[in-house]
Amino acid sequence: MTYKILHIDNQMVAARLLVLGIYPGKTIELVRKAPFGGACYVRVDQAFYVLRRQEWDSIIKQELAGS
Amino acid sequence: MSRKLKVALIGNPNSGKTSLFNLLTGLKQKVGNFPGVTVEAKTGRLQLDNGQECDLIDLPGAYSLFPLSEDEKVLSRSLLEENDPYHPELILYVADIRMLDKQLLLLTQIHDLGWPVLVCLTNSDQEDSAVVKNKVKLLSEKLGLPVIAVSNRTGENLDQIRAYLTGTREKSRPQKNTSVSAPQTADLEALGLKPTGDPIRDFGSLVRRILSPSGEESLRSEEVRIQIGDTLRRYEQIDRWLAGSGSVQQTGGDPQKSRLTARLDSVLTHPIWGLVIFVGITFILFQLIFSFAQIPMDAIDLAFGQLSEWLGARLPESGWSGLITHGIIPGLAGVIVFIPQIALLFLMLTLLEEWGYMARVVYLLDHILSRFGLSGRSVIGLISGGACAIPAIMSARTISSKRQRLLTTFVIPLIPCSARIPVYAALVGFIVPEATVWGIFNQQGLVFTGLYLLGISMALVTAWAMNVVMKAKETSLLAMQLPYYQWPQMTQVWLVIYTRVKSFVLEAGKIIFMISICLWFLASFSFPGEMDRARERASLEADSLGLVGEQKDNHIEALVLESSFAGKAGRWIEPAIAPLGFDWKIGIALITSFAAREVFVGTMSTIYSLGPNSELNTLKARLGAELDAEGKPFFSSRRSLSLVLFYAFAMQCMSTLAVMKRETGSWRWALGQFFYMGALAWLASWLVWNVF
Repeated sequence: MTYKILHIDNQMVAARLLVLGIYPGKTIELVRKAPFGGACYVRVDQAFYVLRRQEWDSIIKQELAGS
Repeated sequence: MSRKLKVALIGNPNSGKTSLFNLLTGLKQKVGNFPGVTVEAKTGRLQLDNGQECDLIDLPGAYSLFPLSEDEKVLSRSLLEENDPYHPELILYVADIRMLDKQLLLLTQIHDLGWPVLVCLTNSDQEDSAVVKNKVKLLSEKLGLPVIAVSNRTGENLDQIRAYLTGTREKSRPQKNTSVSAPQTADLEALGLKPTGDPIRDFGSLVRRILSPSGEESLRSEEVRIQIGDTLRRYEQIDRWLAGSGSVQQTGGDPQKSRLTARLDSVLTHPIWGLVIFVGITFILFQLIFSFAQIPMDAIDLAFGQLSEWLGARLPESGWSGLITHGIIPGLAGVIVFIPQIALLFLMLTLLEEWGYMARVVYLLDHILSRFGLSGRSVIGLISGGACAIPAIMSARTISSKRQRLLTTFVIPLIPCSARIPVYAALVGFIVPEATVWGIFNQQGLVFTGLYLLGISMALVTAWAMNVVMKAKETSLLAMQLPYYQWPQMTQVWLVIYTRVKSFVLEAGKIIFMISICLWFLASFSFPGEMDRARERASLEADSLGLVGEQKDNHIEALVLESSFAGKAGRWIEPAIAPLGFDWKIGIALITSFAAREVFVGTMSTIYSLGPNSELNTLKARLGAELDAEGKPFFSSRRSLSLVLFYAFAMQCMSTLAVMKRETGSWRWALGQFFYMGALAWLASWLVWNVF
């Protein structure tokens, strides 16, 4: 599923994601989730990242049509 | 003599920084595929064209000057503090040409601090040459800095870097008013800083303030807000540059590698298969190490035994020949016998890391480990702990949460390190015989696996208990980039193995070797006349017991050893360890093992080669021939298990304690670790000896 990042709710998370290249306006794809509430494997542009579930949840996002 | 130029190598993790460092200096050191492998700033010497030398400093990889982990603080501090030992005069900024949209952020910050910078774009051989040309032109125009496109595979254009460093250095200092994001007056005032009108000075004081926060909660949030605003402005500027220069594509990575990585990860990070593969890889790793390393290790053991015997027969009978055959040779053997295992373990760990797999393990295990109060990033430390606790504890610096970092470093020494292997290897044969179970598994290999699982479980249980006791205050972050899979560069892998083995032989080996000689001295001498008296007394005793021949000699040798300095020390601690089934000979080994665990083997060799079974070549044979008071083998399976468990849990490594003290800044945690692990070891051994 692909989303457009609107805002990041938690300031500390926002600061961290920002330097990694994940910030409002970017398109983020949720590739898979580790089982039992584990980490999220996401893709932004051509790069892959691991986000903890809370970090993923603090991204306010809009689902993109056709994804 | 002219002063050496100090140049710092700076860039994001995975920018190709460390391999460029190796190419430039030829110095052996580690290249990371996992973000933040280069934890220590390392220095190498670079030969310039005019015969001069300059010092190249490899600073830890970072994404931004605003640090989020201890690791990133190293970078900001070295740039801002002129007294910092790593404070450079010039910066070599390294960025992967395929990921400029992400990797330029830090460059713009350094540029805005007014530093003279030479920009090196790596992986230029992977890009179209027209694109490379365009990007070089773009950067040098926009930032007013010299830019060189290089290849860290072929070494192309490295001579240009050297030529630049040889020439004038002042050229690259940026002119004023080229700040990419000048600090805003309102922001500065919000933090209580006075705007000076000079963007370089203002940005410097802004970074300094964020680096050493005021500590006030309200200001902290303001600091983060300003930091985010600044970073966003920089990204906007970078995007504008890249978009505005027509043919420069904006990919954010390498599409081809990205496709391959996505396909591999669909299996390797699969919710079920990913975990199965991880367990499989770990299992194979240890099986390989034990089956492959055993052959050269046995050969080394045997060769030194025979050398000692051969020399013993030829050298004249004197104190010196005893020093050589019973002190120096067993000491050397104790060092060299380790090499196959250390080399193999580092080979496997480095291959996995270089390939990019370690970061996937973080993804797979983060959640499980967070239940124990650890972080996914702890995995690197916990797995490296299987080789040696010292680099493992240092690798924990990349964990941003202080508390998780502390927990990780506290439990790492419980993970069975390679120094325990020789102890286990010497004793496992006395616990279970050599046999095959279920057709394929080596029974002793299974005991080894069990000991590893025990160590790992104890580490997790300890972390869990500490996590319950120390309540969490700060939120921790995991977010990290997963590197693309790539073939390990074998030259880099060999460099790592070579460096590790060399440092083991030179540093740990030196200690082991010296302790072996000291031990030989302690076991061979005593207060004047005491050993002679012991010999006479033993002889009389043997006669009264009716012992003759070999039995009499054994009795005498044992009592003489007991009267030596070493025997006295062993006797002294015997009351404390007798409840565990240990005698004073093991006591000597325990004392010396506090220097380092592996010393156990050397100590036992020395003690038993002086004892009654000196004709046997290997330590295993000597231990096996040792009898207890009832004439049964002394190293029974119960006593051996008790001893193995003691070594599994006790903190017997001075170097680890020293590193722990350095990393936590006080002796508190190091001593806590020492006593906690000691108590654990004593209890486990006591249980085995008395209950089961």
